[in-house]
Amino acid sequence: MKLIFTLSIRNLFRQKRRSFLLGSAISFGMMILVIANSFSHGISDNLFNRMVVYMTGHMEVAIMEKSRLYNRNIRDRDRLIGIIKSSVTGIKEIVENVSTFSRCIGNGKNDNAAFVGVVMNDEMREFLKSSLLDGKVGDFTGNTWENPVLVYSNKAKSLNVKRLDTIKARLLTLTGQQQSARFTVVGILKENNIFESMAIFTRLSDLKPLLGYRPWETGTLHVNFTRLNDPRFVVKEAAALHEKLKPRIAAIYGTVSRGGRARKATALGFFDTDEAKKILMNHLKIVRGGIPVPGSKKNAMVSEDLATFLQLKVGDPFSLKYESQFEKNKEIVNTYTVAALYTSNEASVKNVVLLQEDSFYKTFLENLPVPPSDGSAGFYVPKKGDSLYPVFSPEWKLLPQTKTGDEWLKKIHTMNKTRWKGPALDVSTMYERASDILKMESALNVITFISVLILFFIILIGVINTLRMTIHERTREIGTMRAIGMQRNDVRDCFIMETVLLSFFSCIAGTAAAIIIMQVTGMITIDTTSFFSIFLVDKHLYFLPTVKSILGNIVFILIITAVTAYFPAKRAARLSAAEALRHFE
Amino acid sequence: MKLLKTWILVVLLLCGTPSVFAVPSIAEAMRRVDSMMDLDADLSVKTVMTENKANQGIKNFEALYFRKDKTDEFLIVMTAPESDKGNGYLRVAENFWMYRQNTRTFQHISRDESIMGTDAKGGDFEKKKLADLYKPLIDAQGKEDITEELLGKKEVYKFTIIAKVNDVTYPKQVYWVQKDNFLTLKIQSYSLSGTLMQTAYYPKWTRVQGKYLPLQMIFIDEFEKGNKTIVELSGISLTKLDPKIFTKAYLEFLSK
Repeated sequence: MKLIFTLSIRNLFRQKRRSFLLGSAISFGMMILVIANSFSHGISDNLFNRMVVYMTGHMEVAIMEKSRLYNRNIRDRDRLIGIIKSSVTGIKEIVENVSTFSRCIGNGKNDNAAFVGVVMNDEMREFLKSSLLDGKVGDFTGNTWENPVLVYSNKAKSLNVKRLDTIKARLLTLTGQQQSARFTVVGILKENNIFESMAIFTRLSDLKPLLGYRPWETGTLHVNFTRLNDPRFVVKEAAALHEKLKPRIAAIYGTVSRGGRARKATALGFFDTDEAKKILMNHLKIVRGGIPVPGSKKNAMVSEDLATFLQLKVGDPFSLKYESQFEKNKEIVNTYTVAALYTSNEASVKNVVLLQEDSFYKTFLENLPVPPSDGSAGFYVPKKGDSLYPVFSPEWKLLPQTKTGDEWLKKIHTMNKTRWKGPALDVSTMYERASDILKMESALNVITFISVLILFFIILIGVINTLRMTIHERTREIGTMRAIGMQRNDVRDCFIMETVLLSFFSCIAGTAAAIIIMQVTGMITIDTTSFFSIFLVDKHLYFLPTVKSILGNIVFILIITAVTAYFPAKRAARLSAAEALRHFE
Repeated sequence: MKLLKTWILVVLLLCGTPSVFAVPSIAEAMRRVDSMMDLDADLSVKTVMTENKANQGIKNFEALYFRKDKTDEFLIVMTAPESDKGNGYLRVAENFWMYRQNTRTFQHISRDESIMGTDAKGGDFEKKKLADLYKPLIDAQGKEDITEELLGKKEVYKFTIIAKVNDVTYPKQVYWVQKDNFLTLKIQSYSLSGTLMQTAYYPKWTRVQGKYLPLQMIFIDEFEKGNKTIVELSGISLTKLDPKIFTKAYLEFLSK
């Protein structure tokens, strides 16, 4: 083996010009491969760990009310964050996503923009340090200016505003009401890509009340993971979270009263479906009145036992009072009319008021009740597995998981059609929400791979041709070596080794050249906000070479050149010594 | 003494008290407005919408609109501009479809989606009563804000109402309604923060089969100055419509 190695090295140096030219071709191929792979990794990293994070998060948890996509409100933010933290691993951050599209009026110029609520944390400070062209961070965090905002330079130009100018904006609240507000431009930012220039950053604490969110509520939650190398990890974590988000039955525990009489009771909403009503009627018997129909606001079914205690009959009003979970000392009082009285064999439902689901969710969502402690008198919700369980309105409907953007859209359309008034919870990943970006990333990877394959095909034809020429020129030498006792396999291995060694040195040179080129091109500032800007980070081309991918490329090239060299080498080994010695050009 | 009391009573009746009784409560005014607007009949009408946006020029849209009163179903088919001709919208029961003529496809859309790329939403075409959505604005003294005044040469009641549900577009509106018949002449709509966002004028009304319908509506965008939309109705008919009209097949037929 050592002899073969020595002979191969000697042969390489014996034909310096040919080795140099062939090596240069392989080096060039390796250089292109490394640059293309690093660029492709850079794009993936940029998309997964920057753009997708800003736009949709790696994973998004949303609660949509009234079956409307844009009516997104997580009423109990902290509880949901708690569930996410306890069931998802590898979390870098959970971000409150509150944003809205708006029509903005600057100094005599109008434009559309997206207001994005942000929190001033270390990451934001770091971002401002590198992006703030004009303005002070303190102006954004302080209380000197009315609704301070940070605007990208292109947007500032289109609105004709500069620092400390005012922008008027028309917004829509989360329930679709018209809202208007004045914002003060306290900083101008430089944009890195076309997506960014649309955003106007405002403080989350300013934007939430403008859109109608209360402090304990939020739009959606974006879950971002520590640097995402395996995007499929997100899907696995989303499935785990989806499993943990199965809803409980929604219940309001409070006091039902009329006149001077009062009793602790539970109000439950019931699904407005024939199936649910059928199950309900298997357990309850209506003794007076009838089941409230959809749209019959403020009508309730009351147990006969409770009605007797409160001296209620059909058509009488009564009040349901309960404590708000978030507004301390605030009591919510709703008045309902008795639509029906029922009896049941189950003692547990004797202190239960049943509301038509629209009516139930109207108060439940607006003022989430304090959850009762275990064993509270008059508290009742059926347990999982109980035949009454599917009858009552849940905290939310958990939408099924989907895999692609198309499937996600279909799911949302299906939800729209139901016009259900309750909340619907959706867990989605970037594969659904940012599917277009991911498709683009896949397409770029495929284009890169095909281009490199074509390049290598051309180079390999050169390798084969060069080897054929070498064998042809060295036929008499092969005959001499075979005559002095060299075996056929040794001849073959000598040629393969020669090619592999040449490829190896070329790969090292190609890698070094690629690193130099990436460093140099990475230093060039490209000032554009065109589509091309999605390939840039901080206005520079972004390459992400990894040791793993470079080693993989080297091994790939060594294998492919060895395989290419095998057949000409085998042909050389098959030559008979006598014929080879007779060879004459 | 008796004479003085009688005199005071007469003066009160002639001066103050009669005018107090003449002004209705806002709830009554809203009920009368709803009553005037309630057609209680099917409707077919040709609508022409002229949208004038600042720095963008004028766009004209024309459409045929059919509405079935009893079921609140409606069908809209565009007749102009050429690029939108044949496109349409159909609302039947809980379903709301958008039809695209060039692809001949129906797509389910939500009530919140824009109609023809304008500010109008699907939900705006549903039958709604003012009294279900709004309530009178009561001032600190517990008084309703309703007054008599002149709008041009017409005697009107001006009253302020605020939303009682949170999903109406404008949380506060000021109405000017004609004194004699409660026809709406002008509406000012305010944002949640109290900024005037839009003024709507209803200068022309017509009476068809005993029902009043606005022939022209002018919407002035008060927020983005220079934007104005004029909606004009013609070919109004309140005759009963065939249920077949509110089908996908009929929309496709009209689109040809």
